[in-house]
Amino acid sequence: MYNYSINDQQLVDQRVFQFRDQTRRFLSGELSDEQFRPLRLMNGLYIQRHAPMLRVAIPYGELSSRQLRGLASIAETYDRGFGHFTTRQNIQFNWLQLEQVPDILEELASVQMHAIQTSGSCIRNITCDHLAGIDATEVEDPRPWCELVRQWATMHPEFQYLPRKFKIAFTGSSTDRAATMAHDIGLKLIKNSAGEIGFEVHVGGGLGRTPIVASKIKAFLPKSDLLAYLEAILRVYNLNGRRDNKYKARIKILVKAIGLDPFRGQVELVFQNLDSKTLLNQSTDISTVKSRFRSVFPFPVNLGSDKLSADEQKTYSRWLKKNTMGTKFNNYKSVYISLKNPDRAPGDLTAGEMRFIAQLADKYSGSLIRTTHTQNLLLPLVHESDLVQLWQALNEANLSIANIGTVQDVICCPGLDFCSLANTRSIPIAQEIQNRFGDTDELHALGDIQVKISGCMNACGHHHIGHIGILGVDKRGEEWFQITLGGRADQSLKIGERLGPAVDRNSIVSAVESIIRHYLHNRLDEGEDFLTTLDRIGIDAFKEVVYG
Amino acid sequence: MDNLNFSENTIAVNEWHQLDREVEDDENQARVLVVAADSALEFLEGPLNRLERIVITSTDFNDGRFFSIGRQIRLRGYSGQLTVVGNVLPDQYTALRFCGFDDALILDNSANSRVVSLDKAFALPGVEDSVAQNPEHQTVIGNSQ
Repeated sequence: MYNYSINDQQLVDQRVFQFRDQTRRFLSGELSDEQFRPLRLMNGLYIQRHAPMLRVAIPYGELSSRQLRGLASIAETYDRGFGHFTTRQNIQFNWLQLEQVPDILEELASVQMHAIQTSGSCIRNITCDHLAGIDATEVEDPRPWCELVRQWATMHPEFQYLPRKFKIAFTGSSTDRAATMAHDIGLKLIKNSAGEIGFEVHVGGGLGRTPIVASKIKAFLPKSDLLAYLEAILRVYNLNGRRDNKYKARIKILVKAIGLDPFRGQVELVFQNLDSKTLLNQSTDISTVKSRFRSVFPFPVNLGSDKLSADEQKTYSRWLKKNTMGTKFNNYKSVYISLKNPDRAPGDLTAGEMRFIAQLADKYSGSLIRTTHTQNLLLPLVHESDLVQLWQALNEANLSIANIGTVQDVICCPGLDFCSLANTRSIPIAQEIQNRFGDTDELHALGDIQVKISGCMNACGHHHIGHIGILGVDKRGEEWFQITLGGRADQSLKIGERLGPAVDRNSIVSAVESIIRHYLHNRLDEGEDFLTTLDRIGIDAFKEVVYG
Repeated sequence: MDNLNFSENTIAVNEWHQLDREVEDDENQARVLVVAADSALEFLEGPLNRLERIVITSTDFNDGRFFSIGRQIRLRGYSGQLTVVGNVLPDQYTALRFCGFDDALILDNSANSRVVSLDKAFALPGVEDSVAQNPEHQTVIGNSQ
């Protein structure tokens, strides 16, 4: 993973110093609410229902065991002993005191972490395929490019006060695991016909109130032009994005309003006036960034064989099938740690569990952990001969639930339990759905189904792109839920179709269950997944089941 | 900037558009162009280097267009003084400087209005060592000035 240079560290340290002063000025009345607001947001600090919430950046989802211990310490010292992993690979702490935030930022800086630009109208955390660098089909590892863009975007003098937030995601693989097409800019490393590697650039994607799939603005961008092209897009957006209505201020609305081709024309005009080569080659140098990526390749710890009982063998095999994946390295697998056990809020992890996972990472995966956009964790490389031991350890800690990709692997926003924008709670809906499909045999027979829940139309739970999407709405003070079907988050990203009128709190979980059972009864065989069945039999068949 | 009184010598954007571009530079010509942060950027096409100073007026520190306007002006090769007037925060001085501004005229509600030279304006204490050393940001300056 990337190791900070002296400059990186200095910048983060000074940012802490600056925020300490800004907090002091706010608390003493020198800064008004209105003035402090963008400053605190730029440092990831929201005012939530119960207390300030701090969102900490996990750049492109990569964490060291030391950093995870740092997060555990913050959860324990300043929060209520847990943290919440988000769909943008970050972590949130929900129960903080404003006065303590500068100290928290200082602790974060001591483990090369920060909360810079995790909120506010600026360039947010850069996200990435969680299998970057280990996926055998990848064109190139996108992480150094993510880091380059992170450095470029961090406190970029021109782009701190944009019309609205701005999200950038990368993938180096043809299988999109980072929902890049739902981002303001989605960057995909590709190889052109001449065999050169560059970026396919997509712009104007996003969810929220107006879900839009990103459009291709550039079929092939040479790697050396990356920062200049990003600068051109951001400048056109900064100058022309709407500022009169925050619901129409994202770049997706600008691109739709003026049209993709005219937008591209404006970007090209700015781009041609920039000396792109100077910008990249003489300043931030990708080879310097690459040289600061250091990883310890994990060697096998346990070369002997482990005996499992017949029962254990069955559970272990399921875990192996659902929660591990092959990598480009022979004999090494990626291991998912599911944070979707029905007895926890999706994406939550306690301080004790963080320390435990850090310890496992030290032992088995070269001290590395990754966060996924589906709110789970990943030990990127584990030797096959260590898998049984690792599973046993996870099992004892109740962290071995084998449900990655299944209907239990629900993506879910914090909802009304924490968020001041939410209309409805989402966590209990997720947990009830998980419990409905608590029977392991049935769960595994169902195959992969993505359920995504948002407690309001801001769509933090990505409901638009769930195979089954659930949106909480408020009707005369009561919780109601709209269902969408057929959305998908992968390279064929698609916005789901609304099934019909919203259903009430008492009906939503049964409605989801009926939809899933209808799929089960109608699929041609076990190999036909939910989306294929839906395509084949049509959405009306599901309407009858729910509203019949 | 020692003297705030550039009012007699100013020209508004619409007048700038009408200016006869063929006429030789003369002593009576306005030397200061005042542009609102939300105006169209056609003025960039004019002979900017005839101007002693370009003033961008900001009504809202949270509307970051003035940063991009500054950058665009410098990218067009303008080498005169560049000033922002109005609602900006001290926390924005560093970024203003990096976007090519020379000074800021801060208009407070109180009689506390003042001119801030951005030469040594660093919003981050001791940041001369860091942001300035951040090679990326350094290049931004290098390109713009």
